[in-house]
Amino acid sequence: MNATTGGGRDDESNAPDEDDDRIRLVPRELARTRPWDLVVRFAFGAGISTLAGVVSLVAGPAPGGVFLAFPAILLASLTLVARREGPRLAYAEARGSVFGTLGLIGFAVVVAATAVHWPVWAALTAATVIWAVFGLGSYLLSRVVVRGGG
Amino acid sequence: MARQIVEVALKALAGGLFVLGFAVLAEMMTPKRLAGVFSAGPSVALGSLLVTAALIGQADMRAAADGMRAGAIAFFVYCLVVPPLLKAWGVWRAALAGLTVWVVTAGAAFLLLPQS
Repeated sequence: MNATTGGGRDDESNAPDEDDDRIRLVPRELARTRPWDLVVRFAFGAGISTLAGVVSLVAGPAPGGVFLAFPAILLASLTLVARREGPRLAYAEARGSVFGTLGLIGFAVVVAATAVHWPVWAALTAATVIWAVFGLGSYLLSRVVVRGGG
Repeated sequence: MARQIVEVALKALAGGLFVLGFAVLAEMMTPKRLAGVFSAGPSVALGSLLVTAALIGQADMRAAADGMRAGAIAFFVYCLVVPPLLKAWGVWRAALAGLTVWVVTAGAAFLLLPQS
C-alpha cells in the first residue's frame, strides 16, 4: 500500500472523483468531509449500539449480538457518499463492503471461540487482526484476480 | 435500572466513537471500493463488546459474539444484494430492500447456527 501523506501533489485533491485503482491513504481528504457528516456517522454508531444494548437487556446477549453486525453504518455512508460524490462512488463503496463483511464473520467467530479462554484485549486484538486479514486480504485478492483476467 | 442505563449509554458512546474512527479511515482511503471495506468494519462490535466484558463479563461477551455471527452472515448477503439494486432503484429504496433481506437472513442464521 502506498501511504500518501498529502504532501502537495496536485492530483490528490481530485482523488475521489477519479477513484483510480491506486491504494492510497490521503489525510487531506478529511478536509473535504463536513463535520456534520461525521456527526451523522457518530449518531448512527451510537444509535445501533443503543439498539443492540437494549435488545441484550430485554432478550439476552445473543439476540443483542446480532445487531453488532447491523448494516446501519454502511447505510449512513452510502447516503452521504451518494449525495456528496454521486451514485457511482456509492456503488463502488457498496461493492467494497462485501469484503469487510467477510472479515466481520471472521471477527465474530474468533471472539466467540476465544472470549472465555483469553484475556479480553487478546481476544479482541486477534479478532480485529482476523477482520483485517480477511477483509483487506479478500479485497487485494479480488484486485489480483480482476487484473489477471484482463 | 440505573446500572442498565449506564451500560447502554456507555455502549452508545463507545460504539459511536469506534464508528467515527473507522469512518475517518474510510474517508482517507482511495479507491472507494477499499473505503467500503471499512464501512463493514467491527466498529460497533468493538465498542459494545468492550463495555460488555468490562461491566458484565466474558461469558456475555461470548454470547454476543455468537449472535453477531448471524448478523455478519446477513450483512454479507446484504452487500451482495444492495449494489445491483442501487443502480436500479437508487440509494434509499435499495438500502431499505437490503435491510429487509438482512432481517430475514439474520433471523434464519440465528436460529440455525449452533451456539458455542
